[in-house]
Amino acid sequence: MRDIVLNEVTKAYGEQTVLREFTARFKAGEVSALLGPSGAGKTTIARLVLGLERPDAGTISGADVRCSCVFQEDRLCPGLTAEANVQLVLPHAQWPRVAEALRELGFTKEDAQKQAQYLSGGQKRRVALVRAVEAQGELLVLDEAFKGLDEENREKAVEYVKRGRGGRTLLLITHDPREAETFGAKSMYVPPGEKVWGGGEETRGEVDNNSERSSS
Amino acid sequence: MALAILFWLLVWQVASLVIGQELFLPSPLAVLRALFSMVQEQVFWLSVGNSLLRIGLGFLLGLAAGVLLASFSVAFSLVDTLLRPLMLLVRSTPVASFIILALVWVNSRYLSTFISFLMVLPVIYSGTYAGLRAADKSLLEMAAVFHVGFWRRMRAIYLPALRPFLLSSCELALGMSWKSGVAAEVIGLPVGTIGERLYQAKIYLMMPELFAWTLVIILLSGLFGKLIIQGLKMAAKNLSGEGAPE
Repeated sequence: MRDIVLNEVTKAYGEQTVLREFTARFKAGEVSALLGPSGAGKTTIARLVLGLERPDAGTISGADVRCSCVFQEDRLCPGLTAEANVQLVLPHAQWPRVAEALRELGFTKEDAQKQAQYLSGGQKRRVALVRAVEAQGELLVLDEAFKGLDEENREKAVEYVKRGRGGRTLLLITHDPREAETFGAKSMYVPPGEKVWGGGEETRGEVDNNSERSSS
Repeated sequence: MALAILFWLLVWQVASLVIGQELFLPSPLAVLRALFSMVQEQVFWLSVGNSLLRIGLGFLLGLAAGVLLASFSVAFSLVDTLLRPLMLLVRSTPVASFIILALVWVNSRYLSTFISFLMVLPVIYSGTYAGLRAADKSLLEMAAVFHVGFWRRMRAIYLPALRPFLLSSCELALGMSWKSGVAAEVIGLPVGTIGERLYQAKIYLMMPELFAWTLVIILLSGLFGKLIIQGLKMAAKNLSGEGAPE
């Protein structure tokens, strides 16, 4: 497992530059948090790291690993049950674990068998969390993963993620500094549309060029 | 609905009484009598079976080809570019032109199969194409991040998106396949088919039989359609894995 390094990454959507020369290192096996207001480009950073976007300039290295993610939206298949939505991303051998994981997050047997379209907002969020945590991978990205959860479920979910993360690199995207503290994350503030240089002085010059996803 | 049908039957009865000429407009009772005597003949069931098989086969082939070609078009832009004008051409060409051409190209026995296939293909193609394109992009992104395999993606994301488009295009294509298939039989006159019976009823001026055969076509088209739609609904429910992705 390697550090994920973004080196002077710039990303624009049309005329609007969302990220300008962003440099950061997310250490392998550790928890990093991106904090900042809406529109600062936190989700764009997540999408770049997940390989859903390509940078317009700069390089990303170490991110060509198997990932799992809680997106800002739940992104559940509405016709599948809560359980089947998690099973969808898992090999068959791991299916028996799903019911147990859902139970840990407060799902009854009946709720686990409900189609996603009939679940409450909080339930959908928890299914998305279980899906991301149970899926295999070296990198876990949580984009506002705990929003919409009440205090009790939020605590349960945080504990579940802490336990289930194992040794994976965790990239936490949040508005809430307390959330980053709970995970003991190394935090980085992303101001909107400005040059950002995060992740420590050592970031520059240490970009691994062997497996970079570049703008070219 | 039943009351409306009854009302129009009454209008028909009254109209035929007013006109008073069975050759011009037979009464509903005369049509029923003709139908009753027709169903007792072996040739009736033979004609129904022949037409059902040929037109049904054309529909099913059109359905399979339409779904397959549209899937390839969505997957590969080159196929899309190549097929687009072809489908537009098939869709815009008058059915009569196809029937005449088909009489030259294929044996008249398979004429209704060929014509039914040609009418169904572009309708199913465009329905399937639109359905697959309507698949939720955010779910496809999720599937890409989680490395969800091709079949699971098809069943959990593409099939639910495709289902309403495919069902409505099937309903449209079903009616077209029967109308065009019987029209092809009337022109090509393959032996022992509904089209041939319809033609004979016309040239011998057996108006009650002509109406009775028309009624049979409407009933067959409706029943065949119900069967296909129910079958597709069941298949889609089982395949989309509502409950489990595998």
